[in-house]
Amino acid sequence: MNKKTSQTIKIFSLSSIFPIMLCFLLFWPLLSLALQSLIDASGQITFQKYLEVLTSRHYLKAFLNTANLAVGSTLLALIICIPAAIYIEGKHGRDRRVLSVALSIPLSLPGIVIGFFVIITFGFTGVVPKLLELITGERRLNFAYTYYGLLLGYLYFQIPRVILTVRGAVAGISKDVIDSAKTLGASTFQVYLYVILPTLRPAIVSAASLSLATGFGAFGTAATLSRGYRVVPLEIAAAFTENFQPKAAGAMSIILILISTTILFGISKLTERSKIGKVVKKGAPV
Amino acid sequence: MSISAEAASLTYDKILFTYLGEKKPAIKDVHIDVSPGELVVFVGPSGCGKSTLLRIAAGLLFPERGRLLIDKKDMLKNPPEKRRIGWVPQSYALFEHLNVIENVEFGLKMEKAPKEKRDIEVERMLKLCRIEDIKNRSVRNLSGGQRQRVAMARALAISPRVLLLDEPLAALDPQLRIAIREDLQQMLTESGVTTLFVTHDQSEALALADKVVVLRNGIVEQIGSPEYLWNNPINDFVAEFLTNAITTDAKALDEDRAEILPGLVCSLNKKVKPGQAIRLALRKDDFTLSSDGVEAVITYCEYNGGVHHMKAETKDKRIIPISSNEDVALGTSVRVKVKDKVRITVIGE
Amino acid sequence: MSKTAKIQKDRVQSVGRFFAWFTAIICVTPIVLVFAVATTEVWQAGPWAGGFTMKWMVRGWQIISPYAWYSVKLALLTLFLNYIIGIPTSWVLARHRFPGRNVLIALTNIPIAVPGIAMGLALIITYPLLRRSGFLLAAGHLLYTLPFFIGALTPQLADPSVQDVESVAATLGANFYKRVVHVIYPKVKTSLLAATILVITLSMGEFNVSFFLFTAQNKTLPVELYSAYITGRIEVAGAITLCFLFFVVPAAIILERLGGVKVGQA
Repeated sequence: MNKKTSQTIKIFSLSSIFPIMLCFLLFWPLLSLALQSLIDASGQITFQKYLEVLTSRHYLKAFLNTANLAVGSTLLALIICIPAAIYIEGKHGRDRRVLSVALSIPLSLPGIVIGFFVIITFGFTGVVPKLLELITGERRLNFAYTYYGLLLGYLYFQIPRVILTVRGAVAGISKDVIDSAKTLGASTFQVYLYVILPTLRPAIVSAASLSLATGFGAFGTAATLSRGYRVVPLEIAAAFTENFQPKAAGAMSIILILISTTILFGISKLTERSKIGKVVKKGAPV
Repeated sequence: MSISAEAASLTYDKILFTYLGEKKPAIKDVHIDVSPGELVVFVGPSGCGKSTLLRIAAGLLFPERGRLLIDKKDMLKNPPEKRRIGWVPQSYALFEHLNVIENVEFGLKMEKAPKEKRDIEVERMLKLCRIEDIKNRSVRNLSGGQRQRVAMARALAISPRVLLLDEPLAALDPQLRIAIREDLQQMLTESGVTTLFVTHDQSEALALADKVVVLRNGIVEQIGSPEYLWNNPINDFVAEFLTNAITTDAKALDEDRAEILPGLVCSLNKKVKPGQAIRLALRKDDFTLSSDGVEAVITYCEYNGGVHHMKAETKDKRIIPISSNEDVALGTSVRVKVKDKVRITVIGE
Repeated sequence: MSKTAKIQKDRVQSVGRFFAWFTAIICVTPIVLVFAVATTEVWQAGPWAGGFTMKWMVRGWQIISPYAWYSVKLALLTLFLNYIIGIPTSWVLARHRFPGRNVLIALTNIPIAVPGIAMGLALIITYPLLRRSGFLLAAGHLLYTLPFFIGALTPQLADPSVQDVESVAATLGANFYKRVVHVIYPKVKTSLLAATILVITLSMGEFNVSFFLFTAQNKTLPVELYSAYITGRIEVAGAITLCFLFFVVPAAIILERLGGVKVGQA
């Protein structure tokens, strides 16, 4: 056996480890899940469960709610994190290091903890309503368990993701380019609009697609905070553990996976230009 | 040379500048006057502060003391976007996400000039910088020389009062450098704009400048026209750095002759006090191999297209630069004398 | 600094600085609040209104310590599996070009696209008998952490400067084993450490999959945390959260000081 063949064998075996594991632990289970949801009581293949899910007002509302939260939190995160990332990637300053540590803390926090944060800040006994009660006599901003509470929670876990994805690209914007734009007469707003944002566009798209996909699949935050505002992951859990409807749960899971995968891979395929590969980063599940 | 209508005068008035966190100032008490339309070259070794001076003029760095006068008005309070100065950094800093035309018209877009005016100006710039044929290409795939010209066109498009060029040729292949140097000179002359040009290449400085400013460690060593500095270097550093001379001691025999070492006597390019100890700037074109002259051993020889540049070391360890048609092996003993009719440059005023 | 130096501000950076501080405060304030909740006598009355106390912390720790240790063990198991599967995969991705390499890269990213609950559901339905043993939990954690481990390690391994130094070492006579120990390991040490901390932190904090796959004997810290939120007193919930934060936040800080985790694949 010559060197070339032995190397080929080595490469082949090394590179198969992961796919094999993936088949056992992911593909086969997902396939089973899909099959289960497609087969009805008499053993025939049918899309009935899917139709039920997609036409039920209750479930459709859940899908809409989920989309609402995912899109809203992604947009807000982009707005506050892009300038923040630009600042942290600057060269000097002790405060930059402190800030970048602070901003990466939420990365490892699960959604339930974030939900708890929202509760103690804006819940019935939360600090903000208490404070406002002291000042104005009325307990206000008590929105933890509403849409806004959920939005805030989702925003919290999107922040480190967006920052991480955008930071790398920001480091690539040379200071000379920004300085040049200034000498050519660009005001601060024009620098952001015409130089920084266009250059960051690929990273922004990456960050957005990652955030959206994560937002759709988020479970823990909603589990802790939701009182009637239903999202799809909650419905899946409910369908399986409470209502004993594994097929409905399965159907919703498959739909959710399709949405998630399409967002993540579809968007990056559309905008992929270079061979650098996919920019992917995600923290704790939510 | 035509002077453009917008060309402004510029003065660095007693500038003191230190980088944040450093103890030593990067610019110490620098005073430079530039007339409208002049091409002034800042030259000096790395770290001497020449790029820093440009950034101060552009508004990207702010000195602790001193004034920056443009057309006699102190500009230090104005941010870069209000100074109307063209700045071309060493990296060219093109906008990679735009094509050539969009890069060139950027400044005009920022000042919200109407479309017709923009188009006219951009056409003019493309022509001036000879980049019309690539005007729709994305900036990403351009060669070094093309990028340099786009950067120039972009800066000139705003009709700047002063143009700042930071080592514009340093990033180019050596072949290209000379060719583009010629283009550059033409462009600058045609546009007539006041230009501050930074380089560490002394031949560029001598070739292009109306006025040369020699800098070292943040201090101005000497200012003058290339010819003046060539013939009247104020100190050893200027002579060595700017004119590639070897500096050495000599003793003045009378008003216009000096003895470099026993056996090597020369005429001087200016009058001195007889008997005085002076410094001389020796250049390779001043000396030649001959049958009579002082003894020396060749320590270095390189072929430079047509002639050989050599260095020879005398018995008392002094180095003499020589240029000759002959090729001589290292270690050969030779005799060196001053070429006829040559007047050696005296260092100092 | 003189007057002129102060007058000009880099406005582009100023906007950035405002948002950076704003966002940082959003991120950090809740942690301070959790501390307040966990150490207040009666949270209903307000932060520290009834007095400062450690009794909730004691109670909280009593409740969750068995689960905390289980989470640690599970995290270490996940880490071990990551090493076994992740290191060879990173190696082959970093150092070899082969047909299907891009497919493999895409495959390593697939688990990220699958929401945790869906993964949990799929695993339960497919291997219902394995649920008791806790094996499914490990599988879920493995799937979840591998993309990050590989993503953190591969860029360093693929770094041309690392490969150059290794090649020079080879010409100087070092065999493979020596090269790994003396050249490669020192250079990728930081990334390996970062990847390790990342896996442990992610595993300790994983909830979505664990929620579906846990059993009475195999219960992780976050799942117990969830119970506390739903059923317990808010002070106890706060105390338990604080314990959790002790495990996770220092690791996040160390990770960031190590230079953060590199984004992307080679």
